[in-house]
Amino acid sequence: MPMKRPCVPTARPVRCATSGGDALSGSRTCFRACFASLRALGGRLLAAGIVLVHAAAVLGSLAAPIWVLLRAATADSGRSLIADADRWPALLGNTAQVTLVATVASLAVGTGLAVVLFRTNARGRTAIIALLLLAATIPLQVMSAAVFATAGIERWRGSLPAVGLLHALAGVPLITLIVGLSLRSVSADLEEAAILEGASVPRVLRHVTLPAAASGLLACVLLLVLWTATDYSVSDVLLVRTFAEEVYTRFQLEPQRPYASATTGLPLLVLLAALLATLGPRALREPPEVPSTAPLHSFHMGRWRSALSVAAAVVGFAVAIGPVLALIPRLRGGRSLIAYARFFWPELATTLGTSLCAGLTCALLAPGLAWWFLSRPRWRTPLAGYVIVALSVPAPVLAISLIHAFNHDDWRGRIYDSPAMIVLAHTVRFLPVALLLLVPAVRAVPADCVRAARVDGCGSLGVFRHIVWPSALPTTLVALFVVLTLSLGELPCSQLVAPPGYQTVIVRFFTLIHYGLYPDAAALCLISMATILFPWTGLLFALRKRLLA
Amino acid sequence: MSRQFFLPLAALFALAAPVACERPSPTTAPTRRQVVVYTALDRQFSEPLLQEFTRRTGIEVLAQYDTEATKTVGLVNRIRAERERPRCDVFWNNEILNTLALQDEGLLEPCQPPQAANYPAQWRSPEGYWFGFAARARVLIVNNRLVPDGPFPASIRDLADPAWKGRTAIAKPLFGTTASHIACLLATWGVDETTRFLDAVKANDIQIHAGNKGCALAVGNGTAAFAITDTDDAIEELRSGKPVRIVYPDGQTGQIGTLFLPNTVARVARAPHPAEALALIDYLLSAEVEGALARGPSAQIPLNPSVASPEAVRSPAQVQPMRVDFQKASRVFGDARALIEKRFLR
Repeated sequence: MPMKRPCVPTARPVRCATSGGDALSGSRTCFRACFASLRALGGRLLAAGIVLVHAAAVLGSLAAPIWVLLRAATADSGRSLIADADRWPALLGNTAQVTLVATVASLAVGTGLAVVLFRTNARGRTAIIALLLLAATIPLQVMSAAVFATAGIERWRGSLPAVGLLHALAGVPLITLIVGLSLRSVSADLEEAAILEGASVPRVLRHVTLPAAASGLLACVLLLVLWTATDYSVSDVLLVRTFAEEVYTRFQLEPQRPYASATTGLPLLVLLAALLATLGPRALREPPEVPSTAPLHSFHMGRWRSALSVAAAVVGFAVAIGPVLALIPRLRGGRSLIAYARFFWPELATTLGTSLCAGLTCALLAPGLAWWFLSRPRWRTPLAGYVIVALSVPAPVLAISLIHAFNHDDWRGRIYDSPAMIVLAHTVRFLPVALLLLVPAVRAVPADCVRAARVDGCGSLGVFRHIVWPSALPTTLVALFVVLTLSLGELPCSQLVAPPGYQTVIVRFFTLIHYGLYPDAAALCLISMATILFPWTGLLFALRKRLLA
Repeated sequence: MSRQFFLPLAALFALAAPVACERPSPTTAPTRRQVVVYTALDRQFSEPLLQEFTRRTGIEVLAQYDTEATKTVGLVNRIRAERERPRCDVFWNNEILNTLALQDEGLLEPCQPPQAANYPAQWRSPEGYWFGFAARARVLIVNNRLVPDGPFPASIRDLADPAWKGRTAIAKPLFGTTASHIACLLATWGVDETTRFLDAVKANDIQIHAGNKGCALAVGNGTAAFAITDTDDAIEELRSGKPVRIVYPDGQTGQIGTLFLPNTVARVARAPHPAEALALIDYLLSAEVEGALARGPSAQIPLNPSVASPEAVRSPAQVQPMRVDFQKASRVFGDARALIEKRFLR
């Protein structure tokens, strides 16, 4: 990788130019130069001020999960923890079943689809990936509402596999994308060597490609387990008792003791910690000493090409277009889509704006944080602990802690009264997810390049700027996309911290379907998807060379 | 500019943009009149009324709406969490017990809107902490095809009748108006009778649905013979042409009567805009607003005697209402939840 020279900022001195015969002109020039310098300085100061204030807000809000944990660890909370102990086996069993079904189904379908779309010569790959990108933006609650509208809800009531399968259906698009990018980071030399040895395509995939992409697969497993185990929206509707639903119920039943409900999820937190401790080190595999020099191999499917292309198209179509098809008939009896777009514009603007801001904030913070912690081995365990706690803390309790932290009569109050609170809440919730994605990518930066840069005199910041950041950029963009997608469907925090006058799409959607306003709800979903489609198409266009080269 | 720095610069802008979108803070000295209302009544019903208030008075209304997912407790929790620096001026609840809980915690302050005098004393706080209007009744929705002739369910006790084993339905009783109903029963019947009733209902294999809407749908599509639900959900099924009818239970002499749960409106303690809050409360208690809610799709039942009740529903003047000490029901709400939890959560 070509090394850039460390950039040494040079000061630009202010020069006052005067000509012999025109003192006024000279004064004007001097004034303009001074003004330009002051404006540049003012601009830098303003930018620095914005960064400092928001860094304080973001870092302060990132401490919220730790604060919740400390408040939950009180004697009063311990009493409710002991009282609930007899329900743990049933709740753990239900949670485990739902999570297992969701993880196995989503990973199986997602990995197969990723292999076909990212490593073969299947037809229509770009279009199918675009469909999956669109499908990934459909929140879980909307997906499940569409399924219930089509297939009914009564037959699924109390069904654990149904809850798992709904999570799997919603998770397939994201998993496909993440696994696909992992498959493209495999060393081509190894694959070439296996092919030269006479290995068939399935054997190369089975023994070389997939094992080499293990870190991405494990990240997907962690993501699926965490996402399914901590979500209650679907299990609440289908009346399946899981730990997440128990925590939410406890939060509702004891509103005077919001932090006590966090202890209800303690067994879940322990299990997630055990899972992370087991799978985490494998996900943090050693980076290759020598980067691959060969171009990535695209497997030719031969006579299977058409069949696999059709199969991939069917799956992509089903997860992306299926919910849309279920919603379109519900539009009957409502207004025109243009009228709906004008009507729901405040919710769309709030959702798009806050989700984009949260995604950008996480994309900015995650690579730097990952690099900083990985450079300091003794900080890795605290980082892992923070990720576990942040992902396990119930969302409503997190929102309450943010309210307590920011609802004050000073600069924090200004943030509290603005939609920035939604951004902060989403950042706190989803930065750990971004970290889970970025840590393997940062870890995979070739050590040789880092050593060479240090020998050339680059400091830590220079290494990050010139080596780590460019290497991790594709995964950073994926993290941006993942966080943005999760933000679109985030309900409990948004509901509690949004200032009056601001409401997100998913909150509005729930209100509409409660009163059976299906035309309005269907229109809101379709308009949301259409509004998001265009920036996603742009993102795909920007990523297409990296994804499909 | 390097493309690599586009992302950080965009993020920098992203950090600043949401704060730039901040409206004038409701808690600092405002430059224009505004009032902040947290409303549990669904947005499609409450928003037009709030917009009309703004048109008439010029006072901007900043509204925070609730969702079925959080069933009012979300707004109540927000008011509790914001107690050190209240942002909400008016709390418009679609039931009464959580309003009373806030009163007990000192989070409401009294006021005297002129329109409150038009309501019977039983529907407002004597000290002026809260005011009830536009109620919903807890009714039985019955499927005409599954229950064509007698014996006809006419009491909530029929939910525990073995003749209907497995064919009755109730919303998840931990939250919402179902939990409020059980708290009112506890306040009226006492612990022993309420416990017997809940045990009998549980033993009768009652179907549990996610909400009152789900119960009404279950009866409408024939999954259940009858269910206990709210009038607005029952009306919806009736108007959609389903073969259902509405029964106002326990209306016979000697029975406890039908429970009516009013909307309640109250001013939050240390509200940033007390005068505007009073104006909004007075407007919401007007006959015009109650009439609009009564004529709307939710068919809320007017409690102001001068407002005509819609044909599809019955008012407390037309059926025997349940005489409830709501203050007592609010205080035993925790006990009611403990009874429910033991039977329906485990």
